[in-house]
Amino acid sequence: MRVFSALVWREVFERRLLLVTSFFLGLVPLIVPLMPGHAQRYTPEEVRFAVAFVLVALFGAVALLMLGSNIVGRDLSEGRLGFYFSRPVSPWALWLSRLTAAGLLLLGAVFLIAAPTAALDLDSLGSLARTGESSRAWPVMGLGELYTPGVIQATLPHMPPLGVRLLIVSGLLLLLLVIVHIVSSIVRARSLWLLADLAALALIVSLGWAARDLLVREQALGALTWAEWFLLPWSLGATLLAGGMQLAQGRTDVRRGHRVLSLTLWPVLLLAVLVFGAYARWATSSTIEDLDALMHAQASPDEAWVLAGGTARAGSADAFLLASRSGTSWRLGSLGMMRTWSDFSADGSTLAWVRCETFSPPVCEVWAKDLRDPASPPRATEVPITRRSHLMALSDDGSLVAFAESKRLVVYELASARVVAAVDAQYPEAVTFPSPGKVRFHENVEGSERWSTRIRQVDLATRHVIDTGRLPRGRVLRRSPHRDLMIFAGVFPTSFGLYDGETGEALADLTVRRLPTSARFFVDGRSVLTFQDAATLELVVLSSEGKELHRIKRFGVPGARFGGEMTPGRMFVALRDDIAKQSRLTEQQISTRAEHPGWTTYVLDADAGELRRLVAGVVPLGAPTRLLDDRLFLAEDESVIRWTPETGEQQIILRPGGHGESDEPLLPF
Amino acid sequence: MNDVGREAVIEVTSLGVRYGEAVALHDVSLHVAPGSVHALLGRNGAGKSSLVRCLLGHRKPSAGRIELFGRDSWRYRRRAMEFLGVVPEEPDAPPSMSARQLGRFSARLYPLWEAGSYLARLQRFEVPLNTPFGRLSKGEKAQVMLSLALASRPRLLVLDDPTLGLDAVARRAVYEELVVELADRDLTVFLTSHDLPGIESIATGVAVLQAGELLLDEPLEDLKQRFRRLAFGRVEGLGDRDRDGADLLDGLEPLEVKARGRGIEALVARFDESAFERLRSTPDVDGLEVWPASLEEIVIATTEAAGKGAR
Repeated sequence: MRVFSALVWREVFERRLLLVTSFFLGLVPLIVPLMPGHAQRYTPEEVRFAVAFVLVALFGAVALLMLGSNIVGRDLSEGRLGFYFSRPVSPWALWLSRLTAAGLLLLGAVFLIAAPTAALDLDSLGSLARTGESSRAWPVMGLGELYTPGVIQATLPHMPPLGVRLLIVSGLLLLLLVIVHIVSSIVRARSLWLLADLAALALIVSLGWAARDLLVREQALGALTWAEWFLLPWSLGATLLAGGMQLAQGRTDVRRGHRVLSLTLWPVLLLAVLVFGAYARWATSSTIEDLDALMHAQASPDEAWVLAGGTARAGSADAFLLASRSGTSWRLGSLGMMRTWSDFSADGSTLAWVRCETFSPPVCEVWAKDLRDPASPPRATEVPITRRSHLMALSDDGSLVAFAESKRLVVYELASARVVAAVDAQYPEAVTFPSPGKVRFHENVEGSERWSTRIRQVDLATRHVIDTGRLPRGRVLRRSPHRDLMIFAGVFPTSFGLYDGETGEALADLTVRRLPTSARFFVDGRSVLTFQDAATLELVVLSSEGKELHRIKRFGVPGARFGGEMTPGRMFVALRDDIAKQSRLTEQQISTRAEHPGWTTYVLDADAGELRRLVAGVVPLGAPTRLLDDRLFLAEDESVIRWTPETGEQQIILRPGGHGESDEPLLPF
Repeated sequence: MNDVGREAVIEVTSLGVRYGEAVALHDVSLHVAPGSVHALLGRNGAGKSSLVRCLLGHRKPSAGRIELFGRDSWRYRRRAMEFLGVVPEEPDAPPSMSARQLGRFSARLYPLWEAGSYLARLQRFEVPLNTPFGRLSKGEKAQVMLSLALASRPRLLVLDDPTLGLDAVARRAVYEELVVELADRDLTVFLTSHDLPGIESIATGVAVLQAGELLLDEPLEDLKQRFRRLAFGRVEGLGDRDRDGADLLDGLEPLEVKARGRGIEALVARFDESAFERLRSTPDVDGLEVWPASLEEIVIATTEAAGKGAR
């Protein structure tokens, strides 16, 4: 330690001019606001911080390059390292002390530049110390933030505490210092080993990139985060080891040192990328058995398929398609991507979804799975799509897919990606396939006085576009299963009612004091509206003409979730009415779980106008809108079960996280 | 020849050093006994600095090994350096540090550092204490390096051509300091030098390298015994000897024979009394004189002879 500290002190003393320069540079931000010309546009504080940041960034970069390339490189190439090797100094002490000195000098230089500016705003510094956040103390963190884009912010789910951030920034600065040292050592050695270095670098970068690409393509972003956390310390360790070995085994021999450095660095990094590659392959090979917690579940209309998503290997949020009868499953990619858009066709033949890389430039693909041929793997279609595309709709037979963009609507044949129709349209919305060969959408147009909405329909055979109706400006709250009715809330003029889905004709005025929270149609055209406030739920059942049939009020219910119809006119609805169970949930559980304890499933009888309690702890799954026979439910333990209320029979379709099997049937209806 | 009876401070065994295809040292073996002043001599490029670099653990030998105090010099370099003082061919102390700062720095590296004697020696040399090392004259730098080397109370002092480029006064100051140290403590010195007259007075053993190979490694005393310079005249008309008189020197291993008229001068490598008496009693030899060869004469003759042999 005595030798180490002597070496560190010597290096710092040797390069003390850097600190002196930094000190005077730190005074520059204090002087600049005193110069004329800023007062009108910027406050003195803004000018100070801007100047300090630029100085920290620029001088920090120069210092990084200078210090990194001179850790031992200059002494080595100029033959001055013999002084230390002729003394009782171990090469590791020499290497680590010089590196420490370089790190201290770099941080010291940054601090000295930023400190005077930061010291003028002690409140910000205090805030930085207490909370890790401060808008004005950023010159202190400036260098780190500048050189670590995408590492702290892109890979961390939450901004870590100040101490952890400083540790990360210090580690990255150290890594950059060592990288600069390695590059300068290789260049200074001027040997043909440079070619081997370049070849090894190319191999490692390409292997690493391939693994990273695999994770990005498969949207295993959680795994990518883990991989980065593994690769960064590993890389730092590898470079530190290589630099140390360069001195320990090469000593004053520049070329031997270069060889040792290369023979240490590249195999260690190669091992890292091979581990990374294996990890990427493992992380992207999740099976549905790896599902740890269910976060998303959606059943196909015939309930033959379940789209299930949750945390799987390496904490990635993965989505799977599960054949509910055979138990066969396929990994579809990231759950995040499934949330972009996914849909089962009404006839149950096709599942289509969009998957996008989340990195710029965004690249999205439309994927499809032919559900009639369960053995066929999911495939990427050629349908072109960008992040600008939105409001996708799948035809009932699953053969067509429609994408709305800002100024047009395009319909593709899913199998061939052939454009079936492309229509110019201003801000198309509410795209549906109301009947075979037809696409309907709403177009918001600016009229002479105010905005209004046209209902337009495209005949896909002739590609003719006709206006079928007009609506006031507003939004569709719910469309009936056959798309012939809709509950619509208009803004200009304010209106709320039952409308004809094709013509926009107002069938019934549902004027109420406030807009409903949600609305659902029964298959026969009746509907139910929910009105929700903090703890009271009101269900209003309407006839197909919009006439109020029943009104049911429940207290202490902060949420409702509809399922399908058990039999015509009897719809499953789950209510969150067990407050005791809900209160035991932590914020973390609430934010990560799709379902929470505290739910009780009821059946809403539209004829009798009453709610009948079925069972506690399960909720209807996915709430498909076009079926009568809805039997898939989600249990409290996150299992997906097929449940027949009439008999109480249950079959576990999916049990994430290996929860224990329960033979006890759910309560029969 | 070698003092193998005592434990060696330096033991070089079959040392080989290569720089790519070029061979710098080949199969060199040396033995330096405690308390000796061993001089490694040779022309530029003979391999002296390569051997010193291996000795100091700066460079790993391509073949063979070097032991310092009985331990491998590459592997145990750091430990060995606690007992070693080094004066390199090119003074390599950090140029920004003054002699005083170098002393303070070194004090933290060596357990037996003698700060007082370091400063006293520098004052004796009249080296400015606060001037950065890079701004000192060549002689002053050498004196600082020697002072640094001696202040650590070394058991072995390695001097790699310490007087290279120094003027006569500075050279003398260095040697005088060495002589004082040698007298005061049990110090072993291993040095390379081109200043053969300068080291002749202090060296006890001499090794000569030529093109990476060891030509000789002997105590200087033995060399002085072995290598003699002879001069004699030839009596005309007696016998039909060779004109250069080489045939007269059979058994003395002449390395250099010069004939000037009837006079002959020779340097022999294997002088012994009986052969000398035989020569003296030869009828056509007249006025035979003998005197010891200087170290410079020995080295020059040895390396030239080896060069001719190689050709």
